[in-house]
Amino acid sequence: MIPIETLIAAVVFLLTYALIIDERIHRAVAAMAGAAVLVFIGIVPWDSLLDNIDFGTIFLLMGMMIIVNVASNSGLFEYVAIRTAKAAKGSPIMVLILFSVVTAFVSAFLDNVTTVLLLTPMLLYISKVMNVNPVPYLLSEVMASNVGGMATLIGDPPNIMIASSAGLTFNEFLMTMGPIALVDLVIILGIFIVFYGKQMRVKDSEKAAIKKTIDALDERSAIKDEVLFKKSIITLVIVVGLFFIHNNIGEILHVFLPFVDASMTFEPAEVALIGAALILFWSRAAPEMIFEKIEWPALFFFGGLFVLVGGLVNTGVISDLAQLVINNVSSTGEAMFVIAWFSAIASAIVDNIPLTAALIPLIHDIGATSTTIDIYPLWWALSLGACLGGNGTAIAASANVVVLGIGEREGVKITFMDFLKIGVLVMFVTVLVGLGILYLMF
Amino acid sequence: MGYYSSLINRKFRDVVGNRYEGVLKDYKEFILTDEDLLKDVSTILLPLDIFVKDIPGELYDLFEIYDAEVTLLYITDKDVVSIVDEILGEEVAADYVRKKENYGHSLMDKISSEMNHRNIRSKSRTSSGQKWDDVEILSKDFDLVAISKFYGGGRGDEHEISPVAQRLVQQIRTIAVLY
Repeated sequence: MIPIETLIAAVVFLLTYALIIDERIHRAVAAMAGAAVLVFIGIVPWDSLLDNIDFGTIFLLMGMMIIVNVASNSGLFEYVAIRTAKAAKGSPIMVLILFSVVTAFVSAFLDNVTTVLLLTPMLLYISKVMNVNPVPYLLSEVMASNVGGMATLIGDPPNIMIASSAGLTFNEFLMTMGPIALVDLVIILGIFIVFYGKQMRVKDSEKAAIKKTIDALDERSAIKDEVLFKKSIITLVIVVGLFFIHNNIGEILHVFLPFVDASMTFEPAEVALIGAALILFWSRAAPEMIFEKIEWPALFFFGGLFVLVGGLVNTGVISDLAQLVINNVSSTGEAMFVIAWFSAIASAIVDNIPLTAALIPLIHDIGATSTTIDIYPLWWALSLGACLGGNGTAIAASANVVVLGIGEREGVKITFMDFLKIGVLVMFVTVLVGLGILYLMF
Repeated sequence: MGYYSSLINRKFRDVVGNRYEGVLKDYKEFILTDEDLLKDVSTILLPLDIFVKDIPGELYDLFEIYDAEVTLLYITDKDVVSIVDEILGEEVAADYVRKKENYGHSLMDKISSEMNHRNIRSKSRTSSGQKWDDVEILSKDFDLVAISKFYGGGRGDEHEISPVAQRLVQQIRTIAVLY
């Protein structure tokens, strides 16, 4: 007999999940309403409400949002977009490759939605100048952003959640997921060139004309504030540098400042907040303007979600599921296979953030219950599936939806089926290859 | 697929909100797409008179880019004709009008032939009236007006732009190119 609390927690979670997927009600509202129900009926006690919320994830997201908002006021991203366009020298295939690489790189450090939002207008402009079909460019951009986001701890919300909960460092993420992201990006570019290469051919004379038009763009004119531009670059370099050493910050500082405890470490969220404070202080940007741009709904969405998952944990739903997984797999490799493919396929259908939120305690429970399964590789399998599943369908990741929406506004129609045809292929190949690399690593 | 389309639209609304508008505005400040550049310019008015001697090559290039139909307009000044009529008589005034119109036709033929050579669509129109008011009224029917600095005369060493051209540029609501 299933206890009534367990049943209620599961039903509230599933109903909220359905509302989140449907988006008729804003997902932040849906998550908060679901959390409120659980608190109201006592499944998540008010006194322990905050214990369920992973503030590491929330503050890391908030810090990065502040940094990106201040930096974007300088015209930095438009500058990068023009330089990328010029570097392609009028070749449509080079535009595809360079924009995908730049998108993947930027997405590894900034959130994917912001990245595609800032690069898509330039990509649409160039495809118009080149007189080529913009669809492959937009699709490769979103897929590159999803793959790039997988490479680092701060690249994609599931990674932030996984790292915060499992205590993984920035360097661990980069060394494990970075090579996979690189290989998968090459594979994606290969797939796009095979599928759409013919549509990207232009004559040499046309190439020269395209180059001339693109070269006429002045990247310096994109810089709205030269001083802020420089400060933004320096802050971003400092923040990324701190991410690299966040786990060894005490050891490094101790050499120069002996009074600093050598065992001191920074949480990734602390690094993001330090970066946010630095750029706000240094740029003299009006804080009310910047705080206004923080995506508060996204942060409240995370807060509500953590409470909802807390309800599942408190009522034993997660531990029962963990037991089910343990009973059906006999080794770490099998568990990796199940986690990676389940999270990939599920992420292609539903939002990968609530999925990751639900799977994180499941992996913790597997670790606590099983004696044969090492959960360390499972975190990577989860990151792989949750991030790459985003390439599966048009609604699998926010970046996909944003690019499709922008395309629609600009008269470039990409249907659900258009996306599905290439998305499913990309998802299966990249997860397969990624999982293979993970097997070699662990 | 209808559900997915509306789902995408709903998700797009929530994910992006007005952020894209801001990004687009920033881009517009340094990028003008061909469509933006060419938008709504399908008819161009080119007023001509005896003071407009030459059409610069750059203006023809601009007309070519827009791929619009250019209307050449030659207005014989009614006030001048009435002054000639009052002082020198009806016959002289009629002769003045004829000569002016002949000049106008030959000027428009010359410009039309250059436009034909460049594949620019054009048509010619002559009228008798007031340059200031008529161009201003007619400009409402066009997407762009190209005005010579010499149009209407009175341009001296101290005045770079003729009073008529200056007034037209200030008054008309249509986009104007001063050449």
